Amino acid sequence: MNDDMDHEDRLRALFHDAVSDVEPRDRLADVRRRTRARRTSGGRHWAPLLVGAGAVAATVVAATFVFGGLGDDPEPDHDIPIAGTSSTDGPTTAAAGVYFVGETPTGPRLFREFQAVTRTADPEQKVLYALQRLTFDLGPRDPDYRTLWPSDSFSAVRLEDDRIVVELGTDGALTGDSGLGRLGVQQAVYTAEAALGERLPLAFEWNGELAREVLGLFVAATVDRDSSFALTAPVNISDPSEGLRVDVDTWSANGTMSTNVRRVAWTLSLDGDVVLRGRAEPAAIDGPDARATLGAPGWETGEIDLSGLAPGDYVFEVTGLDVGQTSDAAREFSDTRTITVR
Amino acid sequence: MTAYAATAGIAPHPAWEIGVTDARPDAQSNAESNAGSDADAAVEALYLAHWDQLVRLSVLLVHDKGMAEEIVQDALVAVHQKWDRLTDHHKALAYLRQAVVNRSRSALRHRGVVSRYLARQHTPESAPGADQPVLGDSRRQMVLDALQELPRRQREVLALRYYLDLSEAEIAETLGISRGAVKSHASRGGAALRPILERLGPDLRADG
Repeated sequence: MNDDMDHEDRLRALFHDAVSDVEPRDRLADVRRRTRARRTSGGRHWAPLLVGAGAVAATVVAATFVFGGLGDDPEPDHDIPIAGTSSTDGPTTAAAGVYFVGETPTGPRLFREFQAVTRTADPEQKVLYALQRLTFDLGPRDPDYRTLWPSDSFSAVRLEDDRIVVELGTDGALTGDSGLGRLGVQQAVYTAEAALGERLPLAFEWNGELAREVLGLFVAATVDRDSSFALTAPVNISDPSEGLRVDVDTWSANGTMSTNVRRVAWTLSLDGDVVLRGRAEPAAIDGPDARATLGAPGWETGEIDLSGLAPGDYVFEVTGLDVGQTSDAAREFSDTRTITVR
Repeated sequence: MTAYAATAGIAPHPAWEIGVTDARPDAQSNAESNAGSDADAAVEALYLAHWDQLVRLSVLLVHDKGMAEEIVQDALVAVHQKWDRLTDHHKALAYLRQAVVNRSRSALRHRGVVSRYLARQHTPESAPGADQPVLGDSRRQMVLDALQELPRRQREVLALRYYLDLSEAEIAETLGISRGAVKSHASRGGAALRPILERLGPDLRADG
């Protein structure tokens, strides 16, 4: 009996000790904002409360989707992710969903790829780091994508209760082709919202004043996310990222799709020859992942056996049949990534 | 045995009731706004009393502080959303706990898109060197790693029992399983951790 009691006490001590060094960041401001945003009318404002330990920070702390990851990656262009290892904690980078422009059978659309950004608890910095990935000098890893934002486009981000204020850093960000400008502006809106994990309109400022023209597009005081069906790619690969090195026998891929997509299929090709193919299945994305992908439905391949493949650079392609809304007739849309099997 | 003194001060208590009255609105005309403000105050009280503890509970389950913060934040928002439909507002803490455990489970299951991407970024070269972690970090890491190896139910039961100090009945209600099942998971999980306890020695030092 004494042994049992001792065992119980020691387990209790073990569990408390295991997380005794975990110091949660203060997120009350996030909770307040998210709950307040839910109410359209009525209800009083939050009464100010004195918090004993950990007073609420004066700045707005925002919700974010970022996950911990290992691997210091200040320059992802030179970083090749490797499959087959697992992360624990101690993150120095976080993944940001960054939106670029890619071609489809019905014209240019937004595609998302995940890029590693410096991890920060400051939501304004979080948004800024993600937006800075949109500029020409950094840009997409996937060579099929491009960006419409010139270098130094984003100099600062200010988070307010009802909008994200983006200070533009160059007048080159004001002009452009207004048709494409719509996509470019939405690149910023989607990327900022994904970084923040929250739906908030963007306001663009140039020289301390509201910018009324951005990338050649006349914009309102705030720009909301455009959720029209013709804006984002009907199928998009989240994982793998471009250039992934795979050194394991089984591997899987996943991504997002529009609600009208049917029959998501994948192929793996070497030098243009398909060596493996299969179907992807719909997969629910929830929790923090759903915020990262802005609530889009998901697909996943299941485990793919790579053990018989020769080392080399393979193209992973996913294709989905869009049966309406994103186009007049059923059309196939696809996304590709190059992976290296070792 | 003072290893858990740092967190003992935030053991579960009805902090939910601190400055918060039963939120069922009496006046029909003000029902909506009352419910909204009561929900605000209630969720804020829950946050103030239980935020740290619930994030740590979630860390025990998902082994990721950032994810744990998101999970508990989402759970608080969920309590707020369902406030009007909670039949007994005094059970809000129990509901919140349940939401944290369920969401932790769900987050692990769907640790897909982002986390898999990040996991694949991890390279051995970027991991902390063997000489870097201090003793305490190493010990805590070992325990958290061991927890991740346990079957999910055992991990949940052990965390609720030994971290939150919940009774068998409370654990059964939180997880929606029988008390017998709680007992069985606790017994197996506790046995699985016995080698770690033996390795850590009587005062839980890694070199003990």
